[in-house]
Amino acid sequence: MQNFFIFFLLGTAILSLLTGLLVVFSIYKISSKNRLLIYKNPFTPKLPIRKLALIYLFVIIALGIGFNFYFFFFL
Amino acid sequence: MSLKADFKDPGKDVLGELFEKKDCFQGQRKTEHIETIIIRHKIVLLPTVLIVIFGLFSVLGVNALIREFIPTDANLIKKISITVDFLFVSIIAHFLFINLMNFYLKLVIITNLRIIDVKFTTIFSRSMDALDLHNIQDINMKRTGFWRWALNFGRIVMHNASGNELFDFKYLKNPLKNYNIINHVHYKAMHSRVAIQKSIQRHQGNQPKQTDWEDISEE
Repeated sequence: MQNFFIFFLLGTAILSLLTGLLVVFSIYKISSKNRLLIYKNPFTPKLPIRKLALIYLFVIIALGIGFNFYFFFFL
Repeated sequence: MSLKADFKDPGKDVLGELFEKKDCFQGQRKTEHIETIIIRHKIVLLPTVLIVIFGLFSVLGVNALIREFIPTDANLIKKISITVDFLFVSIIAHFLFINLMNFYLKLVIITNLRIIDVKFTTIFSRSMDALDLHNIQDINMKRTGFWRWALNFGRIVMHNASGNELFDFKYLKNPLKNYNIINHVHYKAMHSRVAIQKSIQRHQGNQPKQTDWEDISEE
């Protein structure tokens, strides 16, 4: 049973990370072809799309590490 | 006073040399420069935010209550509870960030030649619709109701000569300002087209015909 939870948690974290990486790669590809998405100007968002994608990736990694850490060391 | 002298180039002063660069967006023509970019109002993110808040409170709250009331030696239930929490928080984080990025990836680009409706999503969907300014006959702006007035968002609809809707942009930011910009750009494009037609007629040795645009510019 313990093994099932370990595989489930780690598997979910890895899938989540892969999805995040795919999204960030896609955002970088779009914004390199459409450069108006990364210019800082009055019309595009104050938080450029690439920074937003990196924050997203960071949050996903932090969630994965945090929950797995809590599960292994406190339960 | 000539309308031509009264016309202010809406994008150039604000953006400076920024959009003088080419390849600002996919499919940009050589003589095309961006006049303005319109994004939707943040009010379209309201359902996403409500779903996130409601979902987090409900699932995390229920799981916290379960952990609170179960006996301390029931380790299995705690593990299931933590696993469900992690799964749900991950899904919510993906949902929130992907919706947020999709919001910024939907744009309306107004150039001196065309109006381009960009509808990208993060991974799978890439869609761009372009409409030449010459094809537009009528532009409508609607901002009705208290919330639209208070938060300053509205709708801009463009029709062709036969009255069909070409573009319908909903929940646009600053609809009145953007409507004025589109009108100016449209007028400029039509004026330049008439000037080209006249020069062709002169070149062919014909007397140019009087047009509505000429009447306006001489007032």
